[in-house]
Amino acid sequence: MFDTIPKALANACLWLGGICMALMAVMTVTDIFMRYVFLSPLPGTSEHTQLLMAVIVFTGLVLVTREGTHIVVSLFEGPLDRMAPGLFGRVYFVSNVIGLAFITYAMTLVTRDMYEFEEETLVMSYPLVYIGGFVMLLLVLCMLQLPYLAKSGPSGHDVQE
Amino acid sequence: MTLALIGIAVVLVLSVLGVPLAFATLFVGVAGITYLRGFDAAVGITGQWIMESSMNYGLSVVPLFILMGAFIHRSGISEELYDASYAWLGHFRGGLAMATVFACAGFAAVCGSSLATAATMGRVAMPPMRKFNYSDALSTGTIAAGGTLGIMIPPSVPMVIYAIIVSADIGALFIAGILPGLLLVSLFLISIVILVRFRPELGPAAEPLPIPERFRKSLGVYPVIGLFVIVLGGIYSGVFTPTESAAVGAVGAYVFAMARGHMRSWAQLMGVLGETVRTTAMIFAILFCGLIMAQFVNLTGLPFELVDLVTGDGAVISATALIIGICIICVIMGMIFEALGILLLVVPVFLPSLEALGVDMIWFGILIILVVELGLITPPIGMNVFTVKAVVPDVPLTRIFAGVLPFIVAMVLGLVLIFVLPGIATWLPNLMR
Repeated sequence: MFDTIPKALANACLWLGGICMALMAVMTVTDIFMRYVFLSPLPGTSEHTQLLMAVIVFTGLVLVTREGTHIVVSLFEGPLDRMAPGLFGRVYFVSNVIGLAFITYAMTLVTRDMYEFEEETLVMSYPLVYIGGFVMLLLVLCMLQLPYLAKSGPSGHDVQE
Repeated sequence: MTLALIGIAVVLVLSVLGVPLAFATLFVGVAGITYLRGFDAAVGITGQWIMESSMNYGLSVVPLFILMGAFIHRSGISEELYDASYAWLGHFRGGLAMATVFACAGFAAVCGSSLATAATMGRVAMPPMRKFNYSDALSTGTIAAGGTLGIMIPPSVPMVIYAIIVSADIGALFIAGILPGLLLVSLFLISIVILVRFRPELGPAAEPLPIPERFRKSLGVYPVIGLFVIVLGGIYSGVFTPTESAAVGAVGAYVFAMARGHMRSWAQLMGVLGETVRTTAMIFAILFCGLIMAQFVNLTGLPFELVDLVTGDGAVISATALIIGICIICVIMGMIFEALGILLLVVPVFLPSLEALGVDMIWFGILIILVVELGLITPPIGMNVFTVKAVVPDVPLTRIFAGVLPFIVAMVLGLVLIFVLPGIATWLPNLMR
């Protein structure tokens, strides 16, 4: 029950990330086509690609956090679990909590600087604070997935495709 | 120097205890920077690196090539690749194993993932090899070793990450991987020929097919060759940047999969896109946390102390010894870490020394990728071996490891050849300039 909203948000991230991924490929190919056929490339393609990249990376991070699929060295998982049952999963979970909290804090400060210095992208002059803010939002969504991770443990794949 | 070495050791311990590789490097990097420059500097560097890495245009090639590989993976082309290789080579002794190596090379050329290559070819190649009474060791060893071609034959994600770390030209590195990839294929084939020459029972010959049938079975692989030529030819000729080439490859692979009757529903398409988004996030998490760790190592001064050891009047280590040392370190780390972790932990430490010695970073990149590739099949981890084990659970791990041994020898020989004859890696990229 308590997981309904985080799960729906993770699903939304899956769709958003997927659409951004498709958009990035199609936009780049369109840019090539426009450049070679009409000698008129799409304006700001590389900048749009950069912005899409940030969205793809952090929507993906929401999914990876929920499903517990960060890359781990699992060589000693068996022996460790025999010595202290559940230790491997607990260490995995706690490191996710600390790591995500720290990254969110660091990104908050970066976004604050973007706001204070009114930073913009070079070509299209988009205010960077929007992308910083969106990344922060996605990091908060990562944190919302942590209770599910605590319950399911690493590799508890459940988000619908 | 001591501080950096302690940091690397702590990363190792944390990783073994279950801390994801990304967070292990983040924690040590942040703790180290805090110790050297204070907490505010650590937070600032972390935020800045994460933002810059996640919006680095050069890195956009990573998700696009992953997408291309995912479409190809789901297009079912692996059967055609195997059938075509089987048609031409199956009637030789050990021919099915040779066909597997060729099919792995072809699949790797458009997929770019070693694990996906091993998993896919394991499902395709294992049943016919069993049907013709191939030894389990030779069959599984061939698949595990053939799968490693995924990161040597371009496009390859570890190559992109290496290029970003050393600020090398991604396109040049891709082109540099072609000849070493072919060299490895040749060495794998020679290993199989030698094995079945002395022990014919390992790989009996299959029934030969009529010549017209062989050509008919080869028809299915032309689109794959076409896609490979467009992607790498585009980079080589300068028509596309690597990112553009990857996007063309991804869209081309989608069209190809559609034409073969796949990817016709939203669910299938979203499956591939979702898989790409997840893989991208895993790789980037390791990447930006690894870069923070690299910042810490730089701040300790270790890379510059190493420069003093290899250059100037007081030099105590030759370039050759340094490179051999790095390769040995990577092989040892390859027993525990996966490719990206090794690249991010090792390369930044030695980069200033290598540059000071005038080492060609494209050549060194190929060398280090080959070493990392070796780590995929060496015990105790050998990710590809475990992947093959998952596909054929009834074959004991010890037998698979025994099966990859001849291929490990072949790879070491390849490593020595590229070391002694750098032109194998540098000839093609030099033609580009």
